[in-house]
Amino acid sequence: MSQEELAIESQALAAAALLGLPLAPAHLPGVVASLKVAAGAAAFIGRVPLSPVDEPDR
Amino acid sequence: MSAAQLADAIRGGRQSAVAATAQALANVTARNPALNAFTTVTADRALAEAAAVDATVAAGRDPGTLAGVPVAVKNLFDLEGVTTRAGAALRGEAPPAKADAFVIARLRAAGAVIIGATNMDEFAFGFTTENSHDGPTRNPHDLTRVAGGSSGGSAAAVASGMVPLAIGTDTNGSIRVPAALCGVFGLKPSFGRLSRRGAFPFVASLDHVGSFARDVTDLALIYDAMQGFDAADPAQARRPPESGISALSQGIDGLRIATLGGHFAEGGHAEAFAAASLAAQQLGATHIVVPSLAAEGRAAALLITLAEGASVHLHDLRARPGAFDPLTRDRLLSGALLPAQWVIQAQRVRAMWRAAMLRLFFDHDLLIAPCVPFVAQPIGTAMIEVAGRLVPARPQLGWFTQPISAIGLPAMSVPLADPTAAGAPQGLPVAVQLIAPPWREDILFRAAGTLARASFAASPSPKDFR
Repeated sequence: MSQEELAIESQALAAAALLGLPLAPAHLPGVVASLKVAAGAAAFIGRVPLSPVDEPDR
Repeated sequence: MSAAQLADAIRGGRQSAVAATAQALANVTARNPALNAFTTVTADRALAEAAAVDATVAAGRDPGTLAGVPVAVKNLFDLEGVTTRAGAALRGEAPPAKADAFVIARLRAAGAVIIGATNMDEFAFGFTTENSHDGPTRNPHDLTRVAGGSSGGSAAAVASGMVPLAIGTDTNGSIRVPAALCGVFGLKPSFGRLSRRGAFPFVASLDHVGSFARDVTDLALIYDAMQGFDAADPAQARRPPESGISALSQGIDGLRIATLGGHFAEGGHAEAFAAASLAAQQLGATHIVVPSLAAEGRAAALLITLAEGASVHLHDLRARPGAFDPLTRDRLLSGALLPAQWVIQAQRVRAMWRAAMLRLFFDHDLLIAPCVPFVAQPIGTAMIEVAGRLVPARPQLGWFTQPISAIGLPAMSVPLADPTAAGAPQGLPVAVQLIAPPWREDILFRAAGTLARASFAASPSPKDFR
């Protein structure tokens, strides 16, 4: 597992605990893989410059 | 026989609705085992509805524009007395629906006959209808290949001739993708056009109701029948019905048409771009416009889908995660864990992407793009090569559709009558996506009608289901 994946797994376990969401060990690799894709998407849109008046869509 | 021809024959007393329904049920019995398009067949209900149509005709009254026309329904729509499965085993024990979904009621009011419920990706979260509980729906053009999804059962039911019409939902492409892969017309109207009451939700801010047909006139017929205001859907706009049928024959004179470039000119195989190029030639579109933020819009759609989808299912994700389809579960679990800032950023970028596209519509009335990046792939295909790079095949199917549904624009999947003209491998179906400004479905029908009259657009017949 890469450093990035280890970090994602650690974050996932912490967030799941906060949410009261049990994560079965068998499901964890798939969850990490999906979060890795989501992190890539978040990084991609994170590069879009936004001004304070750019409001969220509704 | 098209839906329009069938309805005309039944309204005129030249054809019995019961006989037409019995024929449709016989077709389902004969064809569905190979395709796995239907998960429930509502034969008793269908025959009763057909008998009511015949009685209406016999009494000298008009049963409606869809008189006696068999319709298939994605199994996330409520059908009174039937459990709304939404493709999920964990909903198998849910009580039967107490009433029909709003659009089902509208279809019944127009005389349609509901034949049954169709297969889908679990909770509509997929592009292939490879449902691990119900099995995959198979593509009528090649039974070894996917039908597309998530409304794959509805698309396959129409493409194989079991029914002339079907309905589905489209959140990220779930009507347009299976329509394209199965070679039928598919319409995703503007967000807020059709009521979603009684349709099991996936992503509230992205869910659309729409329809499938082998004939563009039939597509307009069912679109017109489903319109109507429903105060119970908080997302529905209060707009009067706007006819697709009356737009069909208007032609494209005066329309400013362009092809989308940038994101829409990459991410697929040659046949996808050839289809768009050929459609542009047919419609006289000579220039290409490149919208900004399309790829970002798609990324935003992914994050919003994960987060909102997870919210719908959080209780079951906590209580019985093992009951989910593995293809669905891990993504929904991940969606529950997204940092809030990712989702807020996605909504802000989505708003910017919407603004960028609306600016394009200052100078254009219709935009042309590929619909799917490649033809239907063999069932089980996990990875595919695109531009020399191996990418996950299933999510790639939404490359061209997700940016459009993310901002609620009306769009139509229009099949090429001759897929080989676009170089489609094995002559498998290929389609073009037509995109219009909000609330301008009429422009989609004008363009699709023009393409159909030129014999450029039509639903190719699967050789095994003629």
